[in-house]
Amino acid sequence: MTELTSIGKSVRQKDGRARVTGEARYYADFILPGMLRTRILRSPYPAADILSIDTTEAQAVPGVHLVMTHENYPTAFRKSLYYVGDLVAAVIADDETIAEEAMGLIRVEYEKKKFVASLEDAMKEGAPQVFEGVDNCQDWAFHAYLSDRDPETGLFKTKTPSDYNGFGDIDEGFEEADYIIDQKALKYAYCKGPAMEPRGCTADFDGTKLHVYTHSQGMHDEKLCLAQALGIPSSMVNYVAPFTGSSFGGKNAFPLDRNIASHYLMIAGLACLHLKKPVHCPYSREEEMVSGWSRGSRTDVKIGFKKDGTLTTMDMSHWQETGSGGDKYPAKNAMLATGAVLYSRNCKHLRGKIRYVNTNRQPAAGWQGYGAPEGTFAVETTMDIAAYELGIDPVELRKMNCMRAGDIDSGWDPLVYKSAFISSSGIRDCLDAGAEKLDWKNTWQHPKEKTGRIRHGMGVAIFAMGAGRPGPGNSSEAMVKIYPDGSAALVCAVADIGQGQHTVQCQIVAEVLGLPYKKIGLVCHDTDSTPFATLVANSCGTWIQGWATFEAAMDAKKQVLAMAAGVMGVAPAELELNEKGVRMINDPDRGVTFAEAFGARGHYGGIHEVTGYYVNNSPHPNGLKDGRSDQVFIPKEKGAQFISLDIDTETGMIENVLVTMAQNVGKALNPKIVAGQLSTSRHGVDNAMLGNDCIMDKRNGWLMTPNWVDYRHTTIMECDVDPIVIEKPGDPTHPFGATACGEGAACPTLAAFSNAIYNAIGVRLTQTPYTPESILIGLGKIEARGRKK
Amino acid sequence: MTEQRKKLITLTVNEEVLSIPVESHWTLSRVLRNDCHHTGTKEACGEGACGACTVLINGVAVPACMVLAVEQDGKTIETIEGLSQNGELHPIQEAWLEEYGAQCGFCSPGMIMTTKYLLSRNMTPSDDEIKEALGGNICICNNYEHIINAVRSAARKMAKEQI
Ligand code: FES
Ligand code: FES
Repeated sequence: MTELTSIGKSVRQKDGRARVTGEARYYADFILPGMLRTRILRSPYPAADILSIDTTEAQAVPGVHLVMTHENYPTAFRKSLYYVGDLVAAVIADDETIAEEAMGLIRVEYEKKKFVASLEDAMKEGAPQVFEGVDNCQDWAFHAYLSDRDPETGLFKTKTPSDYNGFGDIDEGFEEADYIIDQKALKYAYCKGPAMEPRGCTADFDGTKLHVYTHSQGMHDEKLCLAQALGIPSSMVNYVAPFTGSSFGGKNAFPLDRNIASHYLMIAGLACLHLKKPVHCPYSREEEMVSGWSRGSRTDVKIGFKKDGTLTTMDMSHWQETGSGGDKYPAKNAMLATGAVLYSRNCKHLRGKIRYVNTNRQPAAGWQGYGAPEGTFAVETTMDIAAYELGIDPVELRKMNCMRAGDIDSGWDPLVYKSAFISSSGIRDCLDAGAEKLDWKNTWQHPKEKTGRIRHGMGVAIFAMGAGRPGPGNSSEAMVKIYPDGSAALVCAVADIGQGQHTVQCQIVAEVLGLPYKKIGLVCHDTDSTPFATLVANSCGTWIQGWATFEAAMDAKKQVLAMAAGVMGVAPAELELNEKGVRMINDPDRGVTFAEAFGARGHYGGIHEVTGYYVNNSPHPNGLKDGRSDQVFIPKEKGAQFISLDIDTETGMIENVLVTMAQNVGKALNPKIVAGQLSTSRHGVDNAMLGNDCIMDKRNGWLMTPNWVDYRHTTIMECDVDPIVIEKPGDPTHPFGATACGEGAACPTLAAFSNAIYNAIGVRLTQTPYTPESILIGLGKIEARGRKK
Repeated sequence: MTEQRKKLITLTVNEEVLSIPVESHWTLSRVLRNDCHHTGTKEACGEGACGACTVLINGVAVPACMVLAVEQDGKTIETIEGLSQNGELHPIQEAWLEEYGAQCGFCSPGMIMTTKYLLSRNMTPSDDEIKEALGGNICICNNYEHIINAVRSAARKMAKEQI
């Protein structure tokens, strides 16, 4: 390949200027004339039925336009309530003050019901059922992971559906094992997925069309859902989402499911269609905190090893709390940390038993790898216990057993793919790079050798995460237009939720067309002007959208080359594009300008633009043919994380935390963006060190930490992150050899933290968060008391 | 609400003198966003915990969600919109772009205003001083390493401009 001009460069963010001048419009910045405001009345009880609701007084307040309840809007509001904060009514008024006053005048009579406040309570015999007639605990219906070994290579080759949720024979596996590590009840606290910009939207009807100003992770998906939920044709809805103030998975709106907390869309949409006025419906920070959360799990892990440290058997049993419904996907992600993916190399026998558990907490929402951090926490903590028991260096034990290129990836549904393989790994390089940076070989000490009040510790954990969701329905499209002045535009709907997708996609276009990055414009801010793009989830943007963008640019380029070839009387293969126009490859002085290639422009002749187009029925190039492909290669997000810290054994305080995050990204399309993505590994640090735990008052189901004072987030003071970006270009699944990056950063932190704490003080913490109290209890300096779990 | 409940205040926002009728409980961030149409100032928590809404009041960085607009009568307010002049970015904004200081950008206006305050008092801040000054500004994207680099680079640019 010729030298790259845009790819691999830390070019400026495409829309960066708008972000630093305040010109960037996030949804709440669209303040429309005559816009009405909304306040939402929320349930004070974790489980109740509404017996009666009287809105007469509220409706009579001057300035109130509409009061919405289950009586007049049964599709959006319901009579049964499932958590504190559940939707009871909404008031639409001239301003917030009026709406708030009127809200206080709504009279509701509730019938309180029994509720369950925790995973353990929900599973007790005879526990109240969150949803009537539905067991609180459900098996994850994902039968996968069965494979046979290739007799020649000894590696797994194919997989077929199984009821067993695994492969091999788990009993036989443990009989064969020389060492068995059996760790029970690893618990990941109930946490709040963050987003800087609170959720909300403004709906505006222009006489023919409903424009919805909001944030988005996948505006086309969300628009289709909204239209269906509102009962109007999709063609009547235009979703406008130019800027999104971070998301991390939690802003993935799904208005069709009332257990997913994107109620603002239904409220504003219905009210706007009814009143024919713009309606603004925002969530406050407190509403944000009670609407959607993540994490919250219990896991048992049992691993069998040969004497030399080869992992041969793994049995994982995982319970994931999903609150009162919400997103059930995380349960599956937990499997990525097991022998199905991360340790697929040597694991002969695997069982993964996964359930999700309903409680009367707020419904679950996505958050950076949800499920995967919980599973990784459990597996990687258990691997560490194994390393100490086997007497093998924790870094070495992982290097022996981690996935490598060519290993099977059993994390995907075999109903879609017969076999999926890991296209590149590099975990071993990441382990080496991190260990070298921390001088692991010379500084690592067994906890027994440590003395003194302040003890230093180092821990490690590895991870493998999504990188796209292969399968039907995950396609992305792109259009690339080239203009006669030598500029080009990318038209696509890929969401930039802070991860830099808009920039990176423009870099791809610039690279393919041989044009300067500056000359690439972007059309991406609403559904009316863009073709479909899949939801940005599972870190799929670089991969799924990247291919569509690449191919659309190739298509446009081909057309321009053909046009110029006609004008010049040569073959297109002899030509290339660059800033100056179309040039002969062998004689760069000969060529035509873009305008010349396009012909004379004007009302009666010439061409104004050339459009290239591509639909990527993910993942390229192994597109689905009969709904099932024989082989697919998955790039995966993968790497290793090290935590170095000091513990004060008198106070239990953790200090001087350094996170070293090493990830193999194939080719870093924009190194600064990639480094920024790795910095998000601090999210795990929030949960580990700041004591983040959404604490519910078990007596009444109220969230005790509904703000950023009680529920803290890492600041610039808290810890340092040292990202190591490993580039092993050439991943065959991407046109520029890139792999995904984003979600992975949060996966290994909690395990690496637990492992570092053990390394410092010899105390194994198996329950997050790691508070000074839990450390002092572990050290035997104080006695356990207080909060029951 | 009836107009009588409102009080007329005068604010100088980004060098423009504005008379605005406000209700006594309205915060400055609300007034800047809704009444002055300066939506660059963001609100993320509304309770002083994140710094997204930071503006300069008489030159001092303050979270605008934590002060009442009526109490600012006669004061000078600087918001993110006032930073660039005639289309030319302020050196802090330049530095933010160069160093990739904004991921989603929602914290950026507040971060940049706090940085302006820091550099107005200390042109050569150490890393610890930078951390201390920005300790009240949360970036949920966790872009802190890039933000520190941006502050450092802004300080260098501004020092050069002064020579
Ligand atoms: S919005 Fe003002 S400090 Fe958070
Ligand atoms: S850049 Fe997203 S919150 Fe700071």
